Amino acid sequence: MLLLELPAAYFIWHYTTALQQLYTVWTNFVWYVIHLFSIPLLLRTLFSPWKRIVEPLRRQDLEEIFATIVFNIISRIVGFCIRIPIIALGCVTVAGMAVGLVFLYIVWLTLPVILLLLFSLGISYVYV
Amino acid sequence: MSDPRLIAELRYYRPAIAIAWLVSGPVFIALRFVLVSLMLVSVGILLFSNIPIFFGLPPLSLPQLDSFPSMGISFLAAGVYICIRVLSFFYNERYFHGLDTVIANQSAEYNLTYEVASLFVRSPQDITGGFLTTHFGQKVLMRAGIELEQLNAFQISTRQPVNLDGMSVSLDSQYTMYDVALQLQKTDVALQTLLQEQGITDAIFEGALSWTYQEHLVRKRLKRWWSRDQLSTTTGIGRDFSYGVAYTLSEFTKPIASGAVYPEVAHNPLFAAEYIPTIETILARTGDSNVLLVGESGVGKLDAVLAVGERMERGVAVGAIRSMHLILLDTDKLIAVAADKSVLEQSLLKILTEAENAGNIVLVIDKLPDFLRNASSLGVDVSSLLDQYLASPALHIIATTDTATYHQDIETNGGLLRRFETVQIEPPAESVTIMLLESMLTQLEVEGNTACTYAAVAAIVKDADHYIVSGVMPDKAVQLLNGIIAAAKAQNVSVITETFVNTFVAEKTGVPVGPVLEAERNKLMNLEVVLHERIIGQDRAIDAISGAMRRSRAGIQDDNKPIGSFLFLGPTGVGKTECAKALAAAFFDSDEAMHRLDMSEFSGNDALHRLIGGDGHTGVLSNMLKEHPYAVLLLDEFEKSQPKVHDLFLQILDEGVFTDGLGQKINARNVIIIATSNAGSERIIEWMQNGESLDDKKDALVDHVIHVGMYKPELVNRFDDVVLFTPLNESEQTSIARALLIQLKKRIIEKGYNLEISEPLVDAVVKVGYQPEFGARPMRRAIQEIVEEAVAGKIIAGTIHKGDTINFTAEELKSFTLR
Repeated sequence: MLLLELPAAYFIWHYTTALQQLYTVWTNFVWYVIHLFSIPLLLRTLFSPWKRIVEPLRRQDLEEIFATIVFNIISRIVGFCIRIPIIALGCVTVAGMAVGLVFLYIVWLTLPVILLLLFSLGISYVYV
Repeated sequence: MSDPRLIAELRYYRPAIAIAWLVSGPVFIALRFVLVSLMLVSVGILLFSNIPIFFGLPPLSLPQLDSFPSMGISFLAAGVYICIRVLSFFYNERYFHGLDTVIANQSAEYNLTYEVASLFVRSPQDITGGFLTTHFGQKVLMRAGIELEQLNAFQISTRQPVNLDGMSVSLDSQYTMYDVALQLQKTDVALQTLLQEQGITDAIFEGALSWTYQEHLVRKRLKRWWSRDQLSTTTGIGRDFSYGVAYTLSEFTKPIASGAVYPEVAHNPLFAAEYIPTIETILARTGDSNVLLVGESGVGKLDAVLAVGERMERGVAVGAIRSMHLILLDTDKLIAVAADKSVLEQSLLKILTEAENAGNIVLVIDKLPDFLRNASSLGVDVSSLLDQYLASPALHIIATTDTATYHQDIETNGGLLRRFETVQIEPPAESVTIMLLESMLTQLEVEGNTACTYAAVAAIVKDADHYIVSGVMPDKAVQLLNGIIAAAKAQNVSVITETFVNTFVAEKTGVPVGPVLEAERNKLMNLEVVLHERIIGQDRAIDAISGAMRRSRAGIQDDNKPIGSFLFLGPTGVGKTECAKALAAAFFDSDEAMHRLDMSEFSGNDALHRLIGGDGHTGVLSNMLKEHPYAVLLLDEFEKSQPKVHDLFLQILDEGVFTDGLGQKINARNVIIIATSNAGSERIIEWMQNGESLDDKKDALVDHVIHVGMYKPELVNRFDDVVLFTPLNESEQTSIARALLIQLKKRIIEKGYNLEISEPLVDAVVKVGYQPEFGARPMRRAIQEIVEEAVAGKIIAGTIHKGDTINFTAEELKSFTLR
């Protein structure tokens, strides 16, 4: 009796609630990737010096002031150069996941057909 | 079953229950493994036979493989695999339905949980029977103290089952297995009988249920690895890019967990909830953002720090400190490697500057006063070095100190104190400590291959608080738990019960703990006889003491007081001290367990100071209670001590603890306090001489000692009982003389001689030693000075030889007189 209720309940779930839940779980993973790559933090500090390696500006001669400024700019460039690939990697991953979601929805919606194909092909390969 | 809402909710879960019925968890895992293996083998064979094609060669033709339908098997296995995968998604959706209602307070469409629905669908005619076949139900009963055999016997017994119609299911809020169990306990008569027969109270059952339910929730939460709370445990890659690196500090750090009481459960919100918001708010300030945690050693100061640190790592702490790291400074190593003042100063300044420049460090200094003192011995004033960094918004410091050194070293240093916000860490409530131990046991039970009942955990917390005198809670409870787990492992005990805990504590402390067992029951029931073996006469006093001790051991008395407390009033030499010794022997199995303080020595102005210590010195009473926490404490001539000492004992008799001069709590809950006093003895003798009965004179005597100002009424009322010791009459003195002569005879026999204790000898001793106003002391003196001396004379003169029996002639007895 219990088993008889399963196909209909599953079918309804597959084409209603499951679609929304797939999206919810997908957003969890997107959130995880954003958190893992620290994308908001790295964007906020994109031009910050690398590991706070800076020289304090003191009242010295112009040459030394210039050298300090150059050093500090280099530190910021290094910081930028390291952050950018990580941000990019994070963004690419999120974009990949977006594509993956579309693909997942297509597979999900056509799953009965896919299963039918797999079983019929399987049987034909085994017995023919 | 007529509730349409319940029917609708059950209908929602029925397909998932069908899946669980069709494929159980282990079968599902095995099936998955087989299908994946099939797919891999098939694809492998396919690839292997077709590899030559990539090199322009004909495919391999192996007779054994040609007959294997690789492609077909791959497709079929993939199909079945996808089917069971999507079914498991479907199952999970229902299985985890409502979990966020519990952990994140979100609303859910259905209020039944999957487990309850499964129970109702599978066993509608016998809910209790169904409940007891679930892993949850069996665990609840095991935690409550029911053994598996008893459970099986209950299952097959004839009983009136509770069916689904008999359950009152309220679907206005979440209805979980917790609610089912509670309802069954209240409605199922057979279950109630089973619990009552095993002595399981409502509190124990609910405790066991609550513990099991929390474990169940934690397990269920961990299973849902795709939820945000589980995914958030990873630290972000780039979160430290914008902060500096403290290289020197990294050489002088150690894990915070190494100093924590229960690091494995420090994340437990129950414990930390009280302190986390305060600590985080202080750290998030823009200036003077430093916290000083004050609390006794072992109260869990570093555990609170660890809890904040974990929140920082997970990125869920308050905004300003969300991306920071907690680093514990290894002050011992810092002091050890510093050869002199300048090296220490330079190292410390470098560490602090680096930490400040890094910008994401919360520096933890454990036992700050110790560090200040050790550095001071090298001539370094750490507090002035720290000052500018403590004021800096870029560096946050958490320091810890115990209460005594806080008062001594920090409070007196105003400059340092103003930079810190003080947070007092108190021992957690008993219920919280129980839950902490329960969380610890999740891991410990697996490691020790043992299980613990809820009553055992509650007993550990209670016994640790009451009987373990050194240390503070929860550390004492954690230490006791570890000791008990180790003992259970050594003895191959599979289930730790309340009795096991009580026995362990009784062996460790020497104090009888838990229910009264046979041997002790006999001793308690016959305490009058036991005491009378050593005390002659004093029937009223012994009755009063025995009654009070039985009340104490039965657990009727307040736990937060000494085991017993008595004020013995009576003339000298009537058995007050002997009674204290007899009590020590009866309760702690040794006369040595009686410790005496001559209170007449504490009559000066420095009395309190000498008793409880201060100015770096420990006190006589504090030391005595620390060294002998389980004993009889005899306060001789109590009335002669200073009034301030009386006030101290007001507190001890009332609360069982006091704070000594060094700020430490001293436990006096495991001692029997006996204060003796000769106060009013002249009245007792007067009443006796007038032939008046003393039965109704106790109140009059108490009024007298209060009236003459010897004791305050509130102090007298604090004692469990005031016991009157009466002067000994001639017949009692005769018995004492006989008892003392028997003791002498034993000593003489040890030397190889014998002594005849004749009635004339006893009469002669009584005649010389009987002085009612001085009690039994003159009798002892008479035996020492006359009988012992006469025996010694005979031995030295050589008139008797080894093996001879010494006896005295009538003439010799007549000559007996005290010098």
